[in-house]
Amino acid sequence: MEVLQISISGIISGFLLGLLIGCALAAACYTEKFLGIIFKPVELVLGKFPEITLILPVLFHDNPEIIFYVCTIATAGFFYGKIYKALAGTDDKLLEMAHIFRMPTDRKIQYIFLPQILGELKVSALIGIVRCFVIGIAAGVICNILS
Amino acid sequence: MIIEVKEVSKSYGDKKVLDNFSLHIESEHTYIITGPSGTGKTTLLRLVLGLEKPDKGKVGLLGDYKYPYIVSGTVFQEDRLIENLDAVTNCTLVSKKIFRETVTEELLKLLSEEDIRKPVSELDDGKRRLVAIARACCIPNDVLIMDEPFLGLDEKTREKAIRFVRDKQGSGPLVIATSYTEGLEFGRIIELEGDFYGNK
Repeated sequence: MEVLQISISGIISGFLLGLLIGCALAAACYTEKFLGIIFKPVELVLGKFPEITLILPVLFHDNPEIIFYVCTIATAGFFYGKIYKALAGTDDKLLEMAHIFRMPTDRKIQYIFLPQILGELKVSALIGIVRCFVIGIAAGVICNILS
Repeated sequence: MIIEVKEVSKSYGDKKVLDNFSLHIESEHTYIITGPSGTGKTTLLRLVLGLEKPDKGKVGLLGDYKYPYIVSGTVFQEDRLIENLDAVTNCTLVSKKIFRETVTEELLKLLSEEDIRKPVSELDDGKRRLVAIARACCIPNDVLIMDEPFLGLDEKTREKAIRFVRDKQGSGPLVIATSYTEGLEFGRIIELEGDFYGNK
């Protein structure tokens, strides 16, 4: 039972931290394009093949927090791709309007970028949670087998 | 303040839309840029706003000016409003220097109380245009630049909008690009017709 509680708390906290990291990384890479180029391979791999993170419990099955790390990395990769795509899809005409009017940055974030991000999160949050749980449970099973 | 447009040329692929065009845009003057579709009206405004660079020539500010860029109240060819927000919020969100009360007062000169409270997505094209005009005029600016601002307005609303814009112009220049110059005879009409530029 205790093992189950630790696994579930690891999955949930990994999901939350991964979501934060994924969103922050997407915002940073959208702002600084060269960062986007650097992280593109990471996004391609983790976004399409999150199962690759399951190599970690194979290598570190004795670490009690490995489920947390696996869920964090897999979730961060997933949401980085989704949020970056949402930001890149922001209406260019609205951005041009904001540029010409010298719209303050906090208002740009609040009225132009945040609706884009929230719109994408509404669509992909459930998929992200399910993927996180699946990978977290798989990681837990691997750890149990190898321990 | 003078905005200098000096011998600018601009092409898109094989199509030359501006060829060696020059203009000085001065304070307290109104310029009506007109001509058929595709003759470079929007391109000229985009060059003045710094959104594009000319292939040849230059656009710059003459004289002492406090900023390195033009502070412009702009109406774009598209409305470029945030759809789920009302007219007042659309006008106030672009600048921290304007307040809801002031904007509401200005908007009520063009629209009804009911119209300014609903999301702009629920307004017809003409009313959305009026919101875009109010947004451009309400922010502190040194020049008003408008691309087809009166498109979609009926005769009466057009007259009201023209009066509003003239009233808000202040001491800065006003530049309007439009295919239809009725009611704009107060300005200097500059006609773009391919290679021919005529001043009336």
